[in-house]
Amino acid sequence: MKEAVIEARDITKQYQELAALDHVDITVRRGDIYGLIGDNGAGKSTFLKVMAGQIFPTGGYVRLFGSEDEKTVQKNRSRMGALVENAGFFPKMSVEKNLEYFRIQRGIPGKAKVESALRTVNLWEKRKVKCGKLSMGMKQRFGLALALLGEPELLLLDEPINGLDPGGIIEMRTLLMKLNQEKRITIILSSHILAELEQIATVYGFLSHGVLLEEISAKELHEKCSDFIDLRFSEPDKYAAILETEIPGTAYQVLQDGTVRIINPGQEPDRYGSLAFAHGIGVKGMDAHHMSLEDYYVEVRKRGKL
Amino acid sequence: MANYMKSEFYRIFHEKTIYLITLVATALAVLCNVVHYLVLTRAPAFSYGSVRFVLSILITGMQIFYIGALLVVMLLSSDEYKNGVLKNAVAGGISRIQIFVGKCVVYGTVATLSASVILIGFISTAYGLLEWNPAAPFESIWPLQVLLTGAAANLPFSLATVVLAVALRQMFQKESLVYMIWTLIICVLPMALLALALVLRNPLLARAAQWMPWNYMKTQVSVSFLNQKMDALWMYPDGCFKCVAAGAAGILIFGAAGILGFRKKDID
Repeated sequence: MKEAVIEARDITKQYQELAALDHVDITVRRGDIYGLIGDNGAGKSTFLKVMAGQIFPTGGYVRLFGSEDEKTVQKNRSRMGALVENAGFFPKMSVEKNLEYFRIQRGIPGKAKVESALRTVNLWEKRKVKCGKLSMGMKQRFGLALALLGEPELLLLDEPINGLDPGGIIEMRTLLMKLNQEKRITIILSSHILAELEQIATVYGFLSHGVLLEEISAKELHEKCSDFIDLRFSEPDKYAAILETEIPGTAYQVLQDGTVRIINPGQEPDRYGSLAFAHGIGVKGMDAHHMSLEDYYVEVRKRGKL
Repeated sequence: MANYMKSEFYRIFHEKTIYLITLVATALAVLCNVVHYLVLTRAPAFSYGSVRFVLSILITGMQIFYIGALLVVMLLSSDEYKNGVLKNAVAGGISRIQIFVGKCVVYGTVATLSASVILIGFISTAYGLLEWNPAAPFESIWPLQVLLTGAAANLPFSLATVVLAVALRQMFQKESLVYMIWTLIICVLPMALLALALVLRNPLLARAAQWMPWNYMKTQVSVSFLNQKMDALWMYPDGCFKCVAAGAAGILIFGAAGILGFRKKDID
């Protein structure tokens, strides 16, 4: 098993009566792209802020790069880059000078690192522009350049595609995948746009009202999100028996309401319907489904409310 | 911490703020001398057009260094708090204590440099424009000696006010609250303690109140033109020690309060 980069154990953050995080356990392993999913106020930003050291948890502890001693954890934060909520900068200083300020602060040798980070996020042309004059999307790019300064091993990104235009979103996605695959940078990111997360995340964590409802790998999710066909019959048990004989090896379930669910159908949907007709079984209805991350999220959320 | 301090120096000297603060304050100090000079040229009998007089304004109002220190901290750190820069430092692995101590050292150094430039502008234009008599020490070199000794003796407490301003800045989001609490600690509390000591006729309380810079600057510094007398506590060894000791105590107390207050502070 891959080494754990972040091990958050029993993390709680209480704001008076409100539990922004409620005994959350999250493990992020080296090389993962961990997608944090949740509604507004679910606790995604709070969790990332705890990881970035901005806020202190009320309970629990964080093990970062194998250390859980508070001083070492803080020191180890120099090995990560973070963009939480918005990029912090001095508005009256240029993009380049702002990055230079943070380069000096982090003790990163070589002024060329600033140029490299700005080129990576396509902001080099805007290096002389004052940060306060940047558009929302450019500010996000600046935040990412800042997070990438000094080649971190771990990136914490909170809604990194906020404010980006469609081209920018594609660039960001490609960049994150490249950083992950080529430089082996572990990434933990939150996003409201599930379709985006679905394209890059290797592990998902579903947060709701400060509670981690489920942690699931992309592989497991893919298995759970398989395509299926729901067929409704007058005699489901009879159809099941025929199915086993006629199309052996078919994975299916007979649901409580009598629906026969064929998982990952190997045949065209009509084939399953005509099989019923051929054996004199009346088909009441048929639906083909594909469960997306969004569908799964809705299901997890429903479960969480129960 | 050295890297944090380097980055803060880089930022401060690449922004306009400190240059503007120094320029405006120097211009006001020079303007004060120019006004005295202009009046003197039109009314030769004007008795306040002397170096002795303008320097005595500063000698009896050394508290201006405390207020100046507060303004330097507030103006230099303004953008940082409004734009959430501090969280980047924390996320970059720098501890809150390093940030606090680093800020105190950097702002203290910058405020001292700025005050030095302002003083040089003020003193040089005073000697260049106003009346002074090289033959009479009271009219020439003596006020300068008292002023410079006073500025040096007051440096520790001026730095303590920087530490207090940085500490309050880290603890409270609202600028108005920082100004209020700073004023309360530096000006109001000492005056209240002194008033209480006088009302209660309590010598112990009075002694304690007299160790507070805002009070001893008011009661133990005087300039008399009629008697050609200039008296300030820092002209005597025990008075000078008092200034330095009060400053050192201030740095320690405000520094400890700042570390305790900021050590576990959430940065949103």
